[in-house]
Amino acid sequence: MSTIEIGRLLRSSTTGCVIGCRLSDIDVPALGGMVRIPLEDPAHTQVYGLIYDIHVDDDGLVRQLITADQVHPSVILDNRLNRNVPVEISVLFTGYEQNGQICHLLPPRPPLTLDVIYLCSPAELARFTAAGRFGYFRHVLRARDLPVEELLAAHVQQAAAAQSAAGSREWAQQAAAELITLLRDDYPTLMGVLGALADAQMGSIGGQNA
Amino acid sequence: MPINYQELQPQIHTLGEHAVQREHSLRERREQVLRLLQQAAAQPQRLRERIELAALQDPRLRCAAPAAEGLTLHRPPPHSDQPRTLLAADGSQIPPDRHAAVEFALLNVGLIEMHPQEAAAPQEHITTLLLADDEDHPTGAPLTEEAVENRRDILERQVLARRAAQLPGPVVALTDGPLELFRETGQPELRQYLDELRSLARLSVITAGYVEILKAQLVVRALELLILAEDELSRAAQLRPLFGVDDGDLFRGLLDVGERSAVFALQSNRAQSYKDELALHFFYLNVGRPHQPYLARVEIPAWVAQEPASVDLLHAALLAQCSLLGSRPYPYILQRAHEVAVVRFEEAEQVLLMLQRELLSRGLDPGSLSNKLYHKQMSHKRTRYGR
Repeated sequence: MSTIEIGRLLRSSTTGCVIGCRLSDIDVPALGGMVRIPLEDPAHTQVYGLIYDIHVDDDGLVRQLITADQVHPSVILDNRLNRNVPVEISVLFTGYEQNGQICHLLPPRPPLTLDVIYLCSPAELARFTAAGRFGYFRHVLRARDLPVEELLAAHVQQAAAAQSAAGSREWAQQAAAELITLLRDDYPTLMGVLGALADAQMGSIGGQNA
Repeated sequence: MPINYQELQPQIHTLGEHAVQREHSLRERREQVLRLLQQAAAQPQRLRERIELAALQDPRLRCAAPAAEGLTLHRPPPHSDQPRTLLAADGSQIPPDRHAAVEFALLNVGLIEMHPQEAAAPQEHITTLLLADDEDHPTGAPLTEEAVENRRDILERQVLARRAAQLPGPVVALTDGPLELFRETGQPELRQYLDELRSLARLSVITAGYVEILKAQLVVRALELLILAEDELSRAAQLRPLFGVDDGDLFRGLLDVGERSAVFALQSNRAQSYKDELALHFFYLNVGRPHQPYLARVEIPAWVAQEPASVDLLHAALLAQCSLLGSRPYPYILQRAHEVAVVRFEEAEQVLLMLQRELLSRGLDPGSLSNKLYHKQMSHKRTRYGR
């Protein structure tokens, strides 16, 4: 099980959450990355989600620092390590696991403040995405104000790599086929998703199906 | 009730009219001040004698006095290395409130440690001191806001000295505001403050107070003494022939970007307590940009003022720190010390809760808000049916 801790929970709801982490930890999470949040309950529930936004705030001091002719390396480190300006990572829940069973429904309850969040390993990513029949795609397609096309392309790219490493080379094609089915009545979004998949250099999937 | 803006508007208009007239007369006075400075630079001993005579007649006189450097000196940025260690301390406080459930005060001092010659992240240190015990009221009198602020200033220097003692030199230590304690200060507190300054002197720490708001008239008031007749010197505090002109008006035209003025000594009644190595001095420094002069006053004790290399190191360090904040020059390290020290309202509430819990756990009355404070707080909260 992956132990790459990327931050702690700031706030949550049944459909998603926002994680805070320090700027120095920012290399780890990426758009479309899958995370898991253990709930520490008797059923060993873990909530899974996709990173759809990584937000770096500024403040008055940072805005002032950029007006200087140059920024000293110690000042850069000071702002990244010492100052309490967390990076906020927004996560869309895609399912959960209880007693070893993965389910692509929304979690029964959201995680709590300061719960630790871990990045899923390739094996964990492959296991989640292989369960069921891509049911978690509807959470992404239903969401508003998200970069749906880019999110799906980034996720499919990462998941396809994990599936390929686990010996399943057909997963990406199956995922694309499912997206086409789900979006058959939403042509603009479908074209956007397929175009994004093609841009993610998954041309054998996006281009072919377009 | 809101402000009566209709009543206010004509007053603001009148102020604007007076401001224009005032500016005309100030322009002439500024030119006069500059001429006086040049005269005094040619004969500094005469100015010293005038100051001594005026101070004898009115010990409350507060003004600059010539020290070792020429009065019109404007020293360019030195070719000096950065100090090995730069420290800054700033304090914040929760003042005592007799209307609160539990009467207490709290000091919070933030210390930032930077090593400008390295690319490492600065270190933050926080020192928190609760003032709620009987020993914090040695005379039995309640703690006042002024007393708490004095203790904060003492703690800032304590924290600096404690940390500087662990570090190799040269160490530059900055605080925000004057080195001189301005408030009403009891003798024990003043003695303690001076002891902390002496600790810094023993460690040869280059100590300075950075003063940003420049309405001071220390040099101008000294120059006024050259205009007054000898029998008017006793009323120098009331007779202000150059009123309205401040030191900033004088030095903005004299100092180029990065330059500092001469180091001046400080003549004042309170400054008499700062003797020998603690004797107060200051210089003005232009930390601005081309065509945008911005002056600060830097207060230093004698042990720094008498060492040209120390003054140069301080000068270089301040310019480097102020440049970090670009278009709004201010020492970055002081801003960070302030950030680290500041106590938020929610934190103050939390401390009060902790105190109340402690008292409750020992079977004591946790106290309650006074009715006056309760109603003040309630009147700012509004609720609506259904919300």
